[in-house]
Amino acid sequence: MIIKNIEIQNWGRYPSVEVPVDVNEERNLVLIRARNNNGKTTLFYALKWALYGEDGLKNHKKQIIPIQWINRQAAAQGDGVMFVEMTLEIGGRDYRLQRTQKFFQTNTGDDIMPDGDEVIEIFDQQNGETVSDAGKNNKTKQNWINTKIIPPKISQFFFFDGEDIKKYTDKPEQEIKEAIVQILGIKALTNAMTDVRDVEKIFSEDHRRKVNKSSKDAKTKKESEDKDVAIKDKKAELGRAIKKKEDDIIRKDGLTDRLRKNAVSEERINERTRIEETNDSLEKTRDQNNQKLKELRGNSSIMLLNGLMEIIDKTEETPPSKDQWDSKTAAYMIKKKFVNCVCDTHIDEKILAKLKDKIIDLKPNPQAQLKRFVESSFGRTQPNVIFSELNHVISERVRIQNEIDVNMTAINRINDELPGKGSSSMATEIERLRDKEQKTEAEIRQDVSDINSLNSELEALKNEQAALVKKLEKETPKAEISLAQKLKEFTDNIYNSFNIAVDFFYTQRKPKLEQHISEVFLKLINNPKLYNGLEISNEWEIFVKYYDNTLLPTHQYGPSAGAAQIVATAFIAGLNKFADRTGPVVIDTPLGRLDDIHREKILKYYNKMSKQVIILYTPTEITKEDLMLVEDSVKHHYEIIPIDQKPDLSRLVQYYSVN
Amino acid sequence: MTKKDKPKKDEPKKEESEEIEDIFGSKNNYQVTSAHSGTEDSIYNIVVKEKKMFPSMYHFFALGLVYGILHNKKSEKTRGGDIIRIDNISDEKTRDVINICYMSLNDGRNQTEIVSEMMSFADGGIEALYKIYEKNGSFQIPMLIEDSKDIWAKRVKQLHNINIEDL
Repeated sequence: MIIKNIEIQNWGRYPSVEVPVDVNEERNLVLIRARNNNGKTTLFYALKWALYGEDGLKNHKKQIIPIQWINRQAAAQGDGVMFVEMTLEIGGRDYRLQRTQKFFQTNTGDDIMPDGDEVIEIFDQQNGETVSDAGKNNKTKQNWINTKIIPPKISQFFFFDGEDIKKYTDKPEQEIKEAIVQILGIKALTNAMTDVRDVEKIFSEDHRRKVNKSSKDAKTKKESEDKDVAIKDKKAELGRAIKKKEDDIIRKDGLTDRLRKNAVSEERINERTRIEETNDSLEKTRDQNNQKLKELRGNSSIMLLNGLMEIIDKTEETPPSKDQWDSKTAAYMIKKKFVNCVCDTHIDEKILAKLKDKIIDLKPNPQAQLKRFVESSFGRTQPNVIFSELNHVISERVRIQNEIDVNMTAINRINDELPGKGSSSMATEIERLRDKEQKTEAEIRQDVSDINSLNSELEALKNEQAALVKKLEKETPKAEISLAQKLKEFTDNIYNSFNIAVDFFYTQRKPKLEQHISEVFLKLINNPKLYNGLEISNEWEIFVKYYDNTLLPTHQYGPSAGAAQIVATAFIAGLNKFADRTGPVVIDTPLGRLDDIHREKILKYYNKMSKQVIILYTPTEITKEDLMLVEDSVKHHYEIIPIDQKPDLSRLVQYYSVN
Repeated sequence: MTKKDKPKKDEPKKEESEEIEDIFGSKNNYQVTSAHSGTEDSIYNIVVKEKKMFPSMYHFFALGLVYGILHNKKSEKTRGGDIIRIDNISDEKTRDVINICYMSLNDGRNQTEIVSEMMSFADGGIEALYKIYEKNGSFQIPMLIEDSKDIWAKRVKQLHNINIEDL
C-alpha cells in the first residue's frame, strides 16, 4: 500500500491542507520539515486517525479522542466538519479513504461538541463509487481497512515516533508480542490450527457415534452414553465458565480502556496536585511573609523619619551662651583649685564666691536635646536596618507571588485540558474504576482456575469415554467405522502439519529474521566489532549478542537512548521485511537522540525500510548537510509553517532546499 | 525637668530652662484623635481593621504624622475618633518617632498646642497616604522612604527646632 495524496480539513492546527505524497521506486522518500509546535505530530496523528479512528490516537500523550483534535478557530466560527482523506494505492488500484467528524459551533475555551458519530467513506477511484465489499457501516468499513491495509495492532511497526520506538527494546508486552506474531503471519497458522482442531473434534464425535451405534456390547454402550451425557454437561459447564471469563475480560477491557482514557487525565490531575501542593506551601510562606511585612510596615514611620534623623544627627550642637560658658569655666576653675584666673588675678575668697555665683543649672537647649535624643534613638531603632529588611521582604513577596501566579496559570491550563475541568469527582471516578478493574482481574484469575479444573475434569471424562469407545470398537465391524476413522486421522495429520509449520517458522524463518535484523543493526551501529548481532527469543525478547557470543537482553543493554533506537529500528526493519503485508513507513522525529554518526547511518538507511517512507522532522534533527545524504531518494519535500497573522494555524508548502 | 521642678529662691541663680517637656508621662496623657477613625468606613478602620495593613492604629498614626510633617500637610477636619492615649503607646520605635516629631515641632508654644498640631499633621498625612493607597492599591512605602531624603533636606529648613546653620 502506498499513500498518494493527503487532504486535511479542520484537524488540529490545519484549517485546510492538500499535498501529494506519491513515490516511485527511485525516489521513495517524502520529507516534511517543521519547527517544534508547528504541527508535525498533528499531521502524524491525522494519518493514524484516518486509518484507525480513535484507536490510532491512543499513543498520544494528551489528545486521545478525536474531538480534541478539532480546529478550535473553526469551531468558534460555526458548525463545521473535520476530515482527513487519503488516496491509497492498494494492489495496483486506487482508493480514496475519508474519515469525517462533524462538530457544532463552540465558544473559544469551551469543550467542542461533536455532531453525530464519525463517518468513514471508502471510494474506488476508478469508478468514483463507494467500495461495496467494505459494507455500509463503520464497523465493516474499519474491518475492510484493517484487512486491506494494515491492522491497527501492527500499525505501530509502520507508524512510529523515533523518540518512542525504544519501547520495542523493552521486555515486550503481550500486545506487542501478539502484534509481532500477527505481522509475521504465524497468527494465521495458529488460527488455522485451531480451526483444524475443531474439525477434528467433529470427526472424532462422528466416529464415536458410529462405534456406539454399531457395537453390540449393551453394557458398555450404556456406560458410553452416560459418559457422553456427563461430557455434554461438563462441556456446557465449561462453556458457561468460558463465557463468563470472556464477559469478564470484555468488562475488564472496557474498564482498562476507560482508565487508559482517564490515565492521561489522571497524570494531569497528579501534576495539578503536585503544583497545588507547591502552591499551598508557597501560600504559607507568603502568609508568613505578609505577617512580617505588616510588622515592618508598622515601623515605616521611623524609616520615613530617618531622613530627618540623619540631618539632625549631622547638625552641630548650638554653641553655648555666655552664661553657660561662664558657668562651665567657673566650675572647672573651682574643681581644679585654680590659684589664679586666666587673667592672672589671684583667686581669693571674694572672687571664689563670685565664681561660685557664676555656676548655673545647665540644661540642654531644645536643639541639643533633640540631637541627643536622635543619637540615642538610632541605637534603638536602626531605621536603615529595618529598611533593608523591608526591601528584602518585599522582593521575596514579589518572587513568591510570581511563582504562585505561574503555578496558577499551569493549574488553569491543566483544568482547561481536563474533561469536566478535572473536578474532584473525576479522581474519585478513577479510583472507583481502578478498584473495579482489580476486582475484575481477580475474577478473571478465578475464571481461569475454574476453566482449568473443568478442562481437567472434561479431559478425564474424555479419556474414560475414549477407553469405552476403544472397548466398543472391538465389538464393531471395521467396515462401518472405517471412513469416520480415516477422517479423524486425516484431520489429526493436518493439525500436526500446521504444528510442524509453526515449528518450521521458529527453526527456519526466525533465524533468517534474526540474520536480517543483525545485519541492519551491525550496519547502523557505530562500533560493529563489539557485536555479533541480535537474537530474538521465542517470546520475542531481543538480545544483543556480543563478539564473545554472550547475550544480554536489550532492556538491560541500552548503553544510550541512541543505541536503543538503533536496535529498535533494526527490529522494525526486520519485521517490515518479513511481514506478510507491506505498507508505508511514517516516522515522526526520525533521529530522536542519535549522535552524529548514528544519524548519518540511520538517515541513509531509512529509504530501505519500505516502498514509501514519510519522514516528519525538525530542522535541528536533519540539517541541510544531512539532507545531502538522502536528496537522491526524495520525491516530495514540504515544510509546515504557521499561517501569516495566525500563528496558531499551519499550512504545508514546498521546501526547496533539496530536489 | 518639668515646670514644677523650678529652683527655690535661696538656691544659686539658675538660667531659665529651655528644656523640652516630655510628651510621654505628661500629666495630660493626651488622647490621640483623628478625623478618620471611629466609624466603619473611616480610613483607620479600612486600613488597620479591614485590610490589616498595620499592627495597630497607632502605627498608622505615626506614619501619617511623619508623612504629614514631611509634606507639610495638615488636616483641618474635626477630629472625632479616638485612637489611643499617648502613654499607652508601647512600641519603642513609635514612641521615638512621636518624640522626635514633637521635639522638631516644638518652637516654644505650649505642649497642648503642639500635640494638637501633630494630630492635624497626622490626619493630613493619612489623607495623602490613603489617596496613594486608593490609586495604587498599596502605600508604596519603599518609594516614599527613598523619596523622603531629598524632601527632608528642604523641609527641615521650615522646622524651627533644628539647627540648620551648618547644613
